[in-house]
Amino acid sequence: MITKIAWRNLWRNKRRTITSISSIFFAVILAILMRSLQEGSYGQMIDTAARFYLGYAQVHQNGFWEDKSINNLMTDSEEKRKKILSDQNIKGAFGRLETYAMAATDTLTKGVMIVGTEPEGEDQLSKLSLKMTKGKYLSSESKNIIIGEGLANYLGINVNDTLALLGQGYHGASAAELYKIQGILKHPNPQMNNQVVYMSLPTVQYFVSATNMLNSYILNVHDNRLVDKTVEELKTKLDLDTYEVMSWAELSPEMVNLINTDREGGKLMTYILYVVIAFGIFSTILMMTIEREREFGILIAVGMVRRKIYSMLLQESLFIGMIGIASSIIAGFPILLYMENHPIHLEGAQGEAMAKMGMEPILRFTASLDIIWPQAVLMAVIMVICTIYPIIHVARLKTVEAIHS
Amino acid sequence: MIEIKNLVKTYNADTIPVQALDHVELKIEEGEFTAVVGPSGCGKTTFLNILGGLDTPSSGSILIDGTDLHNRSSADMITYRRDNIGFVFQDYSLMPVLTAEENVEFIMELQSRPKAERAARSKELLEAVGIGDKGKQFPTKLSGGQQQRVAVARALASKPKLILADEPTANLDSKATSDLLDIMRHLNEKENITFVIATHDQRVMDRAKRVIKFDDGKIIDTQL
Ligand SMILES: Nc1ncnc2c1ncn2[C@@H]1O[C@H](COP(=O)(O)OP(=O)(O)O)[C@@H](O)[C@H]1O
Ligand SMILES: [Mg+2]
Repeated sequence: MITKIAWRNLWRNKRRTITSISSIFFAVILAILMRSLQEGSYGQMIDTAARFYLGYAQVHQNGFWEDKSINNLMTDSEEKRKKILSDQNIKGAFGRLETYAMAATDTLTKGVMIVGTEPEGEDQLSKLSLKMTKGKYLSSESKNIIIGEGLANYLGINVNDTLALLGQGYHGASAAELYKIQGILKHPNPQMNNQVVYMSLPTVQYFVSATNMLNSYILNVHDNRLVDKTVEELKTKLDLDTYEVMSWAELSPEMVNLINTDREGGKLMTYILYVVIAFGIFSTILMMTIEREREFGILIAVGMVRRKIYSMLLQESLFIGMIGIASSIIAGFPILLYMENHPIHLEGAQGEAMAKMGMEPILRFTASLDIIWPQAVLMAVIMVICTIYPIIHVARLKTVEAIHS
Repeated sequence: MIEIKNLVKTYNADTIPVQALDHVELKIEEGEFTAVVGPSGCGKTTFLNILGGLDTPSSGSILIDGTDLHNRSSADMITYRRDNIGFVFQDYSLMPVLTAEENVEFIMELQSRPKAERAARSKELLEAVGIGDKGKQFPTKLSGGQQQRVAVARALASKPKLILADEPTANLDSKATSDLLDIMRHLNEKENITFVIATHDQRVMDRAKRVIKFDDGKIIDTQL
């Protein structure tokens, strides 16, 4: 009956209740969208970093990540690959040998990053072949190279042109070779786009005189949320005196920091939004309470213990909160799902600004319940907090005075 | 039996004291139908409030069947009121969000009575006060007289032995007043429920079995 009374009480002043509900509705929707956009952009950052360069995890010679010297290499072996691939969450692993070199045409030179890789593995991770704008993607036998579009434009070279690469080889050997460009790709990471040169693993191994050597195994996973666990499992399988296993988060701690700072900032924004809403709700609930002082006095007179009145007030608040939250979830989740599948493509100055920061000019959303439920809990807590003072007010009511007020 | 002993109520004792009840001595027997009358401000409401356990006396005591009414914690007092005293107020004071029968059932629900019993008794009580057909109506859809009958039914719901009514007819026309008095007299006679009615309505005094006159916080006449 108390629940029934609480429910009906809500509709005594329809407009006020609907105003409260809508304020919750809009606050939660806004918070959900904001957080979804944030988490989407983190996912995008992680994917961008993981898929086009870092992989979700890497295995190196111990110490390589600290000192990325061309001399800090490990031998590629079938045994190592088997150990890595034996983990359930590992979707694929391939070797890379990266080095820096000077690229030269007849008239221009530029520092470039050479990524010697296994074209199939690389493509499985990064769908690099889809980014080709001209020519052909690499095959594992290919002795040619493909280069970033930015680099091609800078050097003024095209498919079938020849590029000279000069660098340092393994253990002081010199490295100088001419390569035919068989394709040009638009790398989604603009920095990479301006400096990357891809070639097959044997080609780079020959270039730096390091047969069968690698600096990393790049790991692709089935579920990127389980990366940390996978890394821990790999650590038990590989000899940690010789090798190091690192997740994307360890490979890119600055990104983890950036994400965490940004996430906290976003949460703070939602808290501020909620505090503003909470004031409005608090004053409504307090008004609903003060207006009914006399009614409460009568209820106490006819034998209703105050505890039941508190429970009634709390239920009224939670009803308002729940309707607000439920409607925002019902309306918000499909929006998130839609936005997740239809990210916003940024054009013009904004898009360029994002591209300069090394990101795809796309606003991605994440439709995750992990975004929604904290808002629901937070809002419910706010409703309870907003009811504390009105309850104290009723606790202090003097029955006789309330009846005669 | 209710024994009121040396009852004093002083409001604002520490500022400008108002002596609302001044050494009131009175016995009320079971089954009385008593009107408490007197000019406005003479202390009728104060008296009823203390008699109903809504307020505490400054000194003196009230014994109901030998036990001190006010010797209870405030939570116990609420339950005592629920189970033993029915209240009728001048402005009916029904729960606006509950229908007539829900208003009556509500009290029994506070007593944790089973649903079937609640429904049956509320129907019976509304019939007893002559509005058996209005059970599903909300108070705003009822006339003042009908609302006051619901209030009487509500006051009876917990089967109290005492009903306190403060100016119950003040907002009613003569027809409604006389109907309400008929109902209350009938209940008084049939169920032996004690009624104490504060009023300055001559029609109530005419129908009362006993009239107690207050003036300035004192009883000046207790005719039987
Ligand atoms: N809460 C209160 N505080 C101070 N004075 C009060 C209060 N309630 C009643 N009084 C005073 O006590 C006296 C008796 O009032 P009341 O019992 O309401 O009389 P009645 O019901 O007969 O009109 C009046 O003088 C009134 O002003
Ligand atoms: Mg009065």
